[in-house]
Amino acid sequence: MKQLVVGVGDGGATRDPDAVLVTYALGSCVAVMMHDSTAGVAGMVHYMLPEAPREEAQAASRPWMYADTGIGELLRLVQQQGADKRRLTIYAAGGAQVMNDNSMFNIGKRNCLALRKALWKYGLVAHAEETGGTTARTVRMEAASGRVWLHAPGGEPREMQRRASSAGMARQGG
Amino acid sequence: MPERNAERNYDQMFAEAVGSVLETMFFTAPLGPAEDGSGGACMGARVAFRGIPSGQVRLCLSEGSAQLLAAGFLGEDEESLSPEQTGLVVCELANMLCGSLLSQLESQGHFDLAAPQLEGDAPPPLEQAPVATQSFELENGVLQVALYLESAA
Amino acid sequence: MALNILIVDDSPVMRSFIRKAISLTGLDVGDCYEAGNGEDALRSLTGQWVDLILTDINMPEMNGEELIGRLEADDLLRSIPVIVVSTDATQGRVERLMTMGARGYVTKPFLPETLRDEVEKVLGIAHA
Repeated sequence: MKQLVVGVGDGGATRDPDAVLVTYALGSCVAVMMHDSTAGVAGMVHYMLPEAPREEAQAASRPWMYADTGIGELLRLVQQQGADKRRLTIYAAGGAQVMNDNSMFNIGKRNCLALRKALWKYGLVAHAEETGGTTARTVRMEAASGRVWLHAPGGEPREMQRRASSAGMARQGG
Repeated sequence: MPERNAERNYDQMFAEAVGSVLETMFFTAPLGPAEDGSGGACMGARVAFRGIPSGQVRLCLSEGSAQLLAAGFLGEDEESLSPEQTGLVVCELANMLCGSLLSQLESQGHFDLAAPQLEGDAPPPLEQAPVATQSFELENGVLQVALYLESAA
Repeated sequence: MALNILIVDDSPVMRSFIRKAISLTGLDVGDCYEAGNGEDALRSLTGQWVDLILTDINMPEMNGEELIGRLEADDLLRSIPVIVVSTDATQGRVERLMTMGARGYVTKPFLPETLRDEVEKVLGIAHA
């Protein structure tokens, strides 16, 4: 297994069946994973903030940092590698309220709202989601199978389960 | 009911209505309270309702916030929206805020809501004062909501 | 087999929202028709068959409650499942509309997945 680390404010996609995409320390940040089992494409973004600033240059130079540009960029990248939007399985995790962020509208919550906004904009559905709470998470996705595991500090890794329906979303909040 | 408790209840009602409507279908949330009248140029809309009691809900939304909310609701880029689309979304926001506020009022029977209406630059003055009004800071502006209740005959 | 759906709401942007939410359910949706009130909805139904109706309550010309009453009074149209999508969440109204024949009820504001769940539930009942 080849581990491909997706850093904070970064993203990428692969067709390598031996790859495992992993991102660490999802506090208020959110990770979005996309997988097309038919095309064998897997992608992940780890975004930090809800919306890119209006200045074109800044948004274009760091698209992965923001929900709106990052999710759009991930969709574009996986499609470029052969994924079909209609076949995508999508997972999301993160958006926790980190310590000392007692502002009325904390970044974790804003990132969760931005996730929903971007998914709505791009016509996507999250098939499983674990967001909110106060726990930082680590997420791994197998590129071949599309299976996703969550790790929380002090806990055992557990697999995110896709909602069993025609188009599903099982949401678990912490 | 003491006036103080009534004011607190309206504050909670407004916060609950605005929070739930904005988060659920507009993918945003209030950033905090705002000072009344601090939003600058705004789009106004009102929804009249009949029931026990009857009245109106009026909102005033900064133009920048209106475009942002409309884009979120429709899943489009702000730049691609027409003023008509933004106006229709503001009307729907007023409709849902009215419904959400009324659902929190203790009432006999149900309410019938009239179609929401956009208000022009010079909204007609109402003869009565609102029973409650509250302003919320949003991204790109301010949302002010006011509830008018008719006195029982 | 693809499902045909009729969306009844006097707000064109709300019809657009519902249409988009339905498109994300993963259901095989065929034609999606729209009407601005109950009268338009009944006129639409004279020309095409639908498998599901989603209707608001507060509308001009003919409101959702009257529409449901007219559908239930028709031997053929009463078989089309109806889901109410409305800001009115008062228990009395919900109970009355369900008694009149509505199969589901979604309160505005709603998450797209809430609408999806209600559509799946109602269609599951319809196909049982």
